[in-house]
Amino acid sequence: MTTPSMDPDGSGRTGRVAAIRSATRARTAPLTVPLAAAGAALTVAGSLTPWATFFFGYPGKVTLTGFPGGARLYTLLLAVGLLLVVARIAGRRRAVLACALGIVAISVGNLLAIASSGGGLGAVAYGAWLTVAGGVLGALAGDAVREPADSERNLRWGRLWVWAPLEILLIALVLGGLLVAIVIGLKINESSAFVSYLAFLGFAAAAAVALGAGTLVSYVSERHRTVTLAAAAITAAAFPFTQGGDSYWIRVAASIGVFAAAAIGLNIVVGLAGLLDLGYVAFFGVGAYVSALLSNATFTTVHVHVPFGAVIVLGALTSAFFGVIIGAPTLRLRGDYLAIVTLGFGEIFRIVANNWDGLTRGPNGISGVPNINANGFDFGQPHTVFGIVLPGFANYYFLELLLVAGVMVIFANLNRSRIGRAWVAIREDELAARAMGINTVALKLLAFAMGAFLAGAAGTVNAHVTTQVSPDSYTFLESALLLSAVVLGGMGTLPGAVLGSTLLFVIPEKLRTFQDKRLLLFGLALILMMRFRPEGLIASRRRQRELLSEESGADAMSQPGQVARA
Amino acid sequence: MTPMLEVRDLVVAYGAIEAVKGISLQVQAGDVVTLIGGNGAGKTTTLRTLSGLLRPVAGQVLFEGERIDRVPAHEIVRRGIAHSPEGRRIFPRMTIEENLELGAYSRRGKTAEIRDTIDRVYALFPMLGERRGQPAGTLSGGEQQMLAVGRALMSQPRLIMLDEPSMGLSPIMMQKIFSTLVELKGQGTTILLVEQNAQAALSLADRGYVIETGRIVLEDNGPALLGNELVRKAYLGEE
Ligand SMILES: Nc1ncnc2c1ncn2[C@@H]1O[C@H](COP(=O)(O)OP(=O)(O)O)[C@@H](O)[C@H]1O
Ligand SMILES: [Mg+2]
Repeated sequence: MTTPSMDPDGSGRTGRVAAIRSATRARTAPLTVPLAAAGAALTVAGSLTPWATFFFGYPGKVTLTGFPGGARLYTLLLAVGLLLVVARIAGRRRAVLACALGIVAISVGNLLAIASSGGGLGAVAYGAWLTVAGGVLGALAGDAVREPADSERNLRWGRLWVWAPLEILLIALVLGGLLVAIVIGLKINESSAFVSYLAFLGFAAAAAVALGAGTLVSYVSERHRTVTLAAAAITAAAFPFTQGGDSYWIRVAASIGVFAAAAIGLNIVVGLAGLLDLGYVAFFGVGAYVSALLSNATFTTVHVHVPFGAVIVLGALTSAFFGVIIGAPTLRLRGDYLAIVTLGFGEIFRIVANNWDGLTRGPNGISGVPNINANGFDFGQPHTVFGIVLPGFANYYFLELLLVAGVMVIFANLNRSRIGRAWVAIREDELAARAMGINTVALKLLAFAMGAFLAGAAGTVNAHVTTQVSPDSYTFLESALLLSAVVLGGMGTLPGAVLGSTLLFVIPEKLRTFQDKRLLLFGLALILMMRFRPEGLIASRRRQRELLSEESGADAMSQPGQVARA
Repeated sequence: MTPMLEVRDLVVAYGAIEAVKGISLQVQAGDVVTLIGGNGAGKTTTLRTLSGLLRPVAGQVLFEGERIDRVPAHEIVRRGIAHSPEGRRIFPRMTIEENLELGAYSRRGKTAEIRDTIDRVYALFPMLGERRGQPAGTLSGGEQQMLAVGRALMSQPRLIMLDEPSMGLSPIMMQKIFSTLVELKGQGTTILLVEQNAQAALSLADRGYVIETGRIVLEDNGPALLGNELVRKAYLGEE
């Protein structure tokens, strides 16, 4: 702030960036490279030596020398990454820090776990200490490096690739890598090993993003939109084939699909139109009850069997109807009142479902919901495709892929349409939006009803996946979880909602021991997100652009001062 | 000749508190009319009522001979009144061009014509055209005000209402904005201008109204009000 920019139109930017870069190089060159290299070397040594003094069942063969398995493999890989980055360290602060902090996090975490399950620090061998020390050295080195302006690097990546086949290959590699990473992760059984794996993926991804991989991928996928979407669909469809006939994770994936479709619906309400809906899961519940009641379940109160194709539409419409009923009187209210009213509606739905014995069978709920049977195709039956057995849940998984794809198409079109633009305007400044001639009440009602419609559709499928519906599946906690998925993944983006749902579903499944603390952990994760990455894991382009401009604006304010000091 | 806009005994209240206590005014087509008054006099309340953002307790508003005091805001824009709100209120996260496109929200489907209007706004404010892809939040206060005026023009209004366009601007920026208003006036645009800066507003206006605590206390043509002793004392800081 000492020297405010005298350059309001930014024309002198290039020159300034060059000045910053040379200043950075001059300042960081002498000490950081040897420091980081030493950190990497220590980490390599630590990763190849024992982390535990005796064997007591800790995963990863940690007592052996020269065998980097489990956590030690991850620190070794991060050390290699550190070495590669260090060769041209100038301006790569965040990449160095991501590798080094990853090493620290994984080694410290495992060190503590070894100490606690091995009966004290005596169980910890020197390799673990070496690795911690290596990570700390690397982090110190990283801290001394300065990051170049974001926009400069983005432009560099944006212009870089021009040969289409290579770009498409990159898309395929990224998606394939993602699938492999997921499949590997699901095969890891011990909690500590899984946490190490997640930490490794997280820090490695952070390093890659810091080097511009995120920008590169988003530029490339933007240039080949259709190819990317098709490849993503193929990758998602390939998942059941990787499970060797085992249904456990396919079942989880089916639940994620339902959850993701609902989360995208919520994303329309919250992320696009900016309406905070705290009772959203009730709409999901309406769809689920409609579906359970109309499919002639074992314990039903209405003995009819409507074909599923009609049920999904009916469930969605009923849900949208309730959306309008709730929304019409409340959407004139200010945001915080709306949150309270929707919270109330969520509770009313649960209480009605809990007490209307004649229709909902009260707390028992409706169980024995049969599998979907569409024109003789029984969703409960396994099928063999390409010689690989796909369990029954795979049918639901594919159905949900279709549902999510459909919801995505709706969302993407809305986002680009005049309506979507109006929603964003309402979110940013409702009074100004009204002054522009936007019928804000009608548009908010539309958002609310669309969100309810999608949640209802997802709910109808969910009744069949879980084979039963009961009031306790639709509590405020579930609404809060859906909202967390949206915020965690990135408000206003599609991949964000899917990623958020996946994380919120897979992590608790993997970390059974943490299950009772899962809300605490999500709460912590959300607080950290708000502090360090408020735009969510996957930022929407509008938010990215906004943050980018804020950052370069901040650059213009602060960098000249730093140059003067340096 | 019937005036383009006629306000009769308008009363507007926030709850039990009346902010506008029965004002009447007229705007003839092609004129620049200014409503001047101090802080809290009721200028913003009046404009918001005219554009349908607030509902009056009593009184009538007629636009081109038709009652509009019960017409919703989005319909009023469609009938030809644009309102550039106090404090600019551009959409900071949208680009300049997206802001302008939203200004044309009421003209659905006329993409080519909207394009023409955007180009006309860029001709009026070349700075906006040069930075069309930039988020509006990164503009300076004066540039944001230009965008706010440009955005209001996008609905192709017959009457444009501006709420304190000079608020918080440097003298140079203020001069730029007012010279644009002169240009608009020259093109025959009807303007209702709310200002605290009486000097600038009155030298531009064909007609002026002075509002104090919700009532019109003076009305005359622009030059006459500029010479008025009361106005000179209260609003031009002369003894
Ligand atoms: N939203 C509101 N709620 C209650 N009172 C308000 C509100 N907005 C303005 N007022 C009051 O109405 C009066 C007129 O305000 P306003 O129209 O904003 O005046 P001006 O634009 O001339 O400064 C003031 O006394 C102000 O305090
Ligand atoms: Mg005002």
